[in-house]
Amino acid sequence: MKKIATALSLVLAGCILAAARPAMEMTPGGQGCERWIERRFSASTLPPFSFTYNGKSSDAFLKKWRFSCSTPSVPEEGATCRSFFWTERQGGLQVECKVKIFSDFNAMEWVLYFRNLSEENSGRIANVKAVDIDLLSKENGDWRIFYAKGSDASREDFMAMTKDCQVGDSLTMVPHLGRSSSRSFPYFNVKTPAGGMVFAIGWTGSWKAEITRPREDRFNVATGLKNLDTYLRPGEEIRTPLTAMVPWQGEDRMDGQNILRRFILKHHHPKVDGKPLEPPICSSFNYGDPYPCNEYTCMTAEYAIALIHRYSQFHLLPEVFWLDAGWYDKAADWSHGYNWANAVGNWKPDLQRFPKGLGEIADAAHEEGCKFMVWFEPERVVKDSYWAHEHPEFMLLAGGGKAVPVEPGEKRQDSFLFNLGDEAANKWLRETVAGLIRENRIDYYRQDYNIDPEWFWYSNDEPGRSGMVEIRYIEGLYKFWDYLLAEFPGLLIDNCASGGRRLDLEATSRSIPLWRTDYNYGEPVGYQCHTYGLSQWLPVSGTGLARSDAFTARSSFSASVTFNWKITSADFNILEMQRRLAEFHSVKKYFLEDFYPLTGYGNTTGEDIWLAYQLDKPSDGTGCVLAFRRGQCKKSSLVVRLRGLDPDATYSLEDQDSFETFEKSGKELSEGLRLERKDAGTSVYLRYKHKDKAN
Amino acid sequence: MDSLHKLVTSLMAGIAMLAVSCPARGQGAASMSGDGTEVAKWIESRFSAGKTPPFSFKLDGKESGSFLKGWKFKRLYASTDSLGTVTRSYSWTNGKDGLELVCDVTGYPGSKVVEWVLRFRNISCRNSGQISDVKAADIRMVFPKAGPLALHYAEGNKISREDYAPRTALLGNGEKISFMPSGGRSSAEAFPFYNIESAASGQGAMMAIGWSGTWESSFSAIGGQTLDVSAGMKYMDLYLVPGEEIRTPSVAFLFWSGKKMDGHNRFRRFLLEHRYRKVGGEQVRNLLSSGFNYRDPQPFGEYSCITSEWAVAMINRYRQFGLIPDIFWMDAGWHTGASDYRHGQDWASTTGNWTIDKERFPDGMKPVSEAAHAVGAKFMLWFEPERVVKGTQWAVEHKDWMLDCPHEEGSGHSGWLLFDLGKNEACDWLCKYYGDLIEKNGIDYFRQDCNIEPAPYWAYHDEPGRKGMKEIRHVENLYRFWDYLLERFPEMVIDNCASGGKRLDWETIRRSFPLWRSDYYHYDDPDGYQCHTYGLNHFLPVHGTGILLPDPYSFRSSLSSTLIFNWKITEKGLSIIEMQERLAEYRSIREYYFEDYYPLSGEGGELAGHDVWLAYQMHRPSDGSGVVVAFRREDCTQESYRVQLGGLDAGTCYILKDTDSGEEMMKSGKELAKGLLLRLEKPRSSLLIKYQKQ
Repeated sequence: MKKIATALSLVLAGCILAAARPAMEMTPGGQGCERWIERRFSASTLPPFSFTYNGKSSDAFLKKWRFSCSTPSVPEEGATCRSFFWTERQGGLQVECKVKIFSDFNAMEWVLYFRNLSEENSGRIANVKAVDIDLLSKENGDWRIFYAKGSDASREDFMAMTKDCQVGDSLTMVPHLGRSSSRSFPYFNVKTPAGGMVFAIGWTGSWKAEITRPREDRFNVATGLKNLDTYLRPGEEIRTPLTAMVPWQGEDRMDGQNILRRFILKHHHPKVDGKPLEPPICSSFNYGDPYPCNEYTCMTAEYAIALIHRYSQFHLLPEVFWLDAGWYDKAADWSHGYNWANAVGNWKPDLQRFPKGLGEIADAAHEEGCKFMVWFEPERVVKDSYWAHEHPEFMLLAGGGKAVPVEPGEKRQDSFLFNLGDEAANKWLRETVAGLIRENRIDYYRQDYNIDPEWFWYSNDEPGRSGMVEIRYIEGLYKFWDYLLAEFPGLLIDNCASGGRRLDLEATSRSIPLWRTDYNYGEPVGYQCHTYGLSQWLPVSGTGLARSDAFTARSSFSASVTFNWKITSADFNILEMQRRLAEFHSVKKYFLEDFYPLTGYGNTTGEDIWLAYQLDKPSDGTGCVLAFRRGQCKKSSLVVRLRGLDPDATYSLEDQDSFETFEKSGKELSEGLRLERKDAGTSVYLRYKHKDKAN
Repeated sequence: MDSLHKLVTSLMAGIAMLAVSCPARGQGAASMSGDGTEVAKWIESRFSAGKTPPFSFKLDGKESGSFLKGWKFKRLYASTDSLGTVTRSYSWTNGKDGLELVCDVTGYPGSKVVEWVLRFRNISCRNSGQISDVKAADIRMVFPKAGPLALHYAEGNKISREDYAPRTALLGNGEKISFMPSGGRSSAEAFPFYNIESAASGQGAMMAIGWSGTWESSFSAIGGQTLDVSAGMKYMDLYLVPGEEIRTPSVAFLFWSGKKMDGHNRFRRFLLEHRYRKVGGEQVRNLLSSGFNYRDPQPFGEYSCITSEWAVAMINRYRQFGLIPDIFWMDAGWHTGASDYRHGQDWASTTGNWTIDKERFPDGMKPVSEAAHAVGAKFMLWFEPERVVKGTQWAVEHKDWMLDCPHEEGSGHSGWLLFDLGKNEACDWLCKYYGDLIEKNGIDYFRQDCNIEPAPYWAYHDEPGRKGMKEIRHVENLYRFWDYLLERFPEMVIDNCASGGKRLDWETIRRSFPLWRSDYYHYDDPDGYQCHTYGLNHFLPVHGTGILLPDPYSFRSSLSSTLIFNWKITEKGLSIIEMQERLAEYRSIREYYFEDYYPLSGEGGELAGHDVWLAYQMHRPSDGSGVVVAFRREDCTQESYRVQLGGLDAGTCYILKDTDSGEEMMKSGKELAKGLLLRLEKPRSSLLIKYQKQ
């Protein structure tokens, strides 16, 4: 009974909203973003967002507010930026919607800002739906939502999900406890019978997305914050999540999601000197020391430098040497119970182990032509650490109240959250971290984030200001990263949050996730799944690699990889590692164009299946196919249907194990290519090229 | 080459009886007195005019017994030092043929030990007659009481779990057992140390052969009281040119009374006191070594890719982890060309390039040795001078010093040459070359490997009528080379390796220690290492092996007086704390391995099984303390095991402490000798019990 009532109320609510919401007709003609924006952002129309102000829906009053817009600007090639303003006629609240239209992708995105221009506190702003839009289709067919699991350090991280929607169905997504891709994933694809729209949310905190099918002919999609109900003080301004939208036409979700991949690479991928930052091949420092050392708590400058030269000697130089956790003060003090994890906040190189800091390691890496990346985790501050003692005023205490540091040895596992939202704290952090980067000649900055921030934020909100601490925090995070990127023009920020738990569009714009999951380090089947799932949305991610056999190595194929091979172990073979490294160099460029899963969108985690995908590079007519016959798979062959090929063209294919070559037409390949492997636990790596296009 | 010739043959009783009444070959007879042997008298009574000495040979086919009494006998030298050590030199000269035979004899009255070595010298102007069948020892031992005669011996090294396994041959009337090593290495597949026991007489004799080539030994029982014992070179039939001199194997006997292990333990103590090299007058006991995070990734083997920088970083890593050994041991692969894997080379295929790889060690080994010294450790470096691979520096630059020989097809050794160490010019050069290299690079300890079987090379290059001469010269100069190093570097220790412990004999143990007693190590079988400790401890107190893992079972399996820990300190599967604990445990009990030894699990092939207990005891008589080490192996279903401790005072109370559980108990020596029940609940577990007098 309760269910029926809920369903009815949902339908009713949907009808009411649907009647009022701006809509996009999902036909080729109706999807021109530029025209649609022009129509939807005007004085006389209801904009495609909504909120409540003092409890009233913006739909009810926004048309009465003073509307204005800025002149278009061109912040980057292919993008036009315009701001639309709605200003309260009595009172001083102003809403700005900063819109970008991408002519090269027929995509659009916007961010809502709220600004109190008055001398008094504003009314209560709540229920902000940064996007509140209907997607219409008059045609019959499937109504589906394609989305993905977020990261939960499991084999299922980023696994493709599909929801068929009947009228009244809905899907609500919120990430887990404040990290933007923890358990939920801030990218989804809503498909009507006449076409679809891919959404990407840019908010590195607790965003919220609701997709409902209120009526037969439409979806409603709303994005926003999970928790916002606040007034603004005079002169105060807040921002809310970014949402990007990419309409698409086609049958398969990847028709839309490949556009998203290209769109991200072009407009939401870090650039250096105006060029997209190339995802690097990284190496650890022979990752894994004996207990009780963990991570790099036993690393020394001498050992690190000797290892760099060892990689060089073995012709295994990466593009980046990656020094992970454990290089700072106290991390090595295992006799007093410290380790890498409970010594964060002591952000000084341990001078016993690094008497001259980390700079001499950087120098050694540079001499070998490599970059040097160092791990930091500035936001989680252990309560007895230097930072906690030096600046307790910069710390947020879980549960609220004053952050009081503890003496060394007490409750070391317990942490404060560094309050990025406090400008004094943020400035101090920016300058401190920049100083560490500079002094230690660090090229790439790896930021980890092993803490769920949500309770820190919410419990520190002032009365009547729910969500403010989070908003300021997230704004501060971007400010911090943007400062570093400006200060160090060649800097790569490696975005890690217990793996890939902060992979939203804003974070993606500034960083690369080189360690996309904390799932069972080195387990290859899981890694296949993660590439398979995550590549459906993001072109650039990376993972680790523990072994050097072909099956394991190929399981970690991604745009970036970090090889954690034990070059000190007699169990490893240098020649094999060299071969694998060469393979990585050969394959990584393919990740930067189109991706096609070849074994469906179901559960990919079984040990008894084949998993296959295709990387297609339309720019030069080349590509490759990766396939894995897993350990308990009884089928020795798999037929895959390649996509994105010219049916009339002839393609030459080469097996990268046997180096046998053969030719097939694009049509044949799209109808079925049989992959065969005699043994379970083996892989296929095929490369192909369009005979008339590729060199 | 021939493998172990272990042959028990039944002789006809009539011949045996004849032999008793009329010794063949001019054999010296000895009435055995055990502890009652007066060494000086024993020597004087056998090495004197008109007496048949305890050796024999043939000259032009005639037994020395038939003519030696006719040769001119002379005592060349006689001295007795303050410790009572008796040194004698005797000669027998045949004026007609110009052949002189010299026997250098040393006696240790306190230890009841006598040893001697024979030399032949042509003092004439023409070639000597054919000397053959030299039995450096040829003794008829006559025990006071009839009863079973037992020969306790050990298996030689064959890179197996049964290396050095203790064995006993009970020799009945007319039964004979013979031994010889294979391939020209003195403990390969046969072991030149024995314990002869007449249980009925309550006495016996330890025996050792000193010849780092192909010796042979033979033991024939005649009745229940008499044993014919002989030892000498297997292959020797040669004439000497004018002025020429050769030496032959040395032999040693230790006479004992009591039980079998009394003989073994007296022998162990003698080695420690008188035979082993001392440094500064002190026994060398700090031989705990570590590798450099052994071993490197494929295709590198051993240390084919180690660099100076890496080695120093590793030394400092051991220091950082509190794991500093007495010795940092750099094994094979540091030499030029060993790292050239791109051309299929490795450490083994480049021996002969005895220069330090400049690419990897631009400043030589000095930075490495200095780093070792800086943390208070010695630095030992591996060499293998005798096996020279064709095409290497030595093979090209010193062609005249290389011996080649035909090889069986597919043997894999056709690319190997034997360095002609027997050539004095080559030996002189080697002494200086290696000596200078050692000095220049700050190398403290010299590890010599020998992965080549030299016998076929020797045999192939013997001149007609001079069979055995190449072997003799090689062995003589091996000792000369080592003696040179030991003299030039008074604090040096030589680690004697030959594919593991394949060159352990009375002569090599005097100059060296076998820190790597078996290449069986490469199979990583702790039960095998238990067996090796258990067997070899019967005869030699100082020897060692490696240890790959730090868990108690693995580690204790490798316990010996020396040890090399080859833990991967770069791997996260290990624990620094556990490694530190193991080293502390080792240092707390190491001294006991230089004391008396009591095997507690008997002997026989079953000791090598996976389903048994193995236990032994190390006992320090001076204070009545010791340790019991026991292993319940993986497939063993018995939770308990009764052992009878040795060496204890029956009337004294002992406190025993299980070092794992901390439990203590008190027992009398009598009770412990009667039986101590050891208990281990889980298979593949170990016990380490320390005990001391109350």
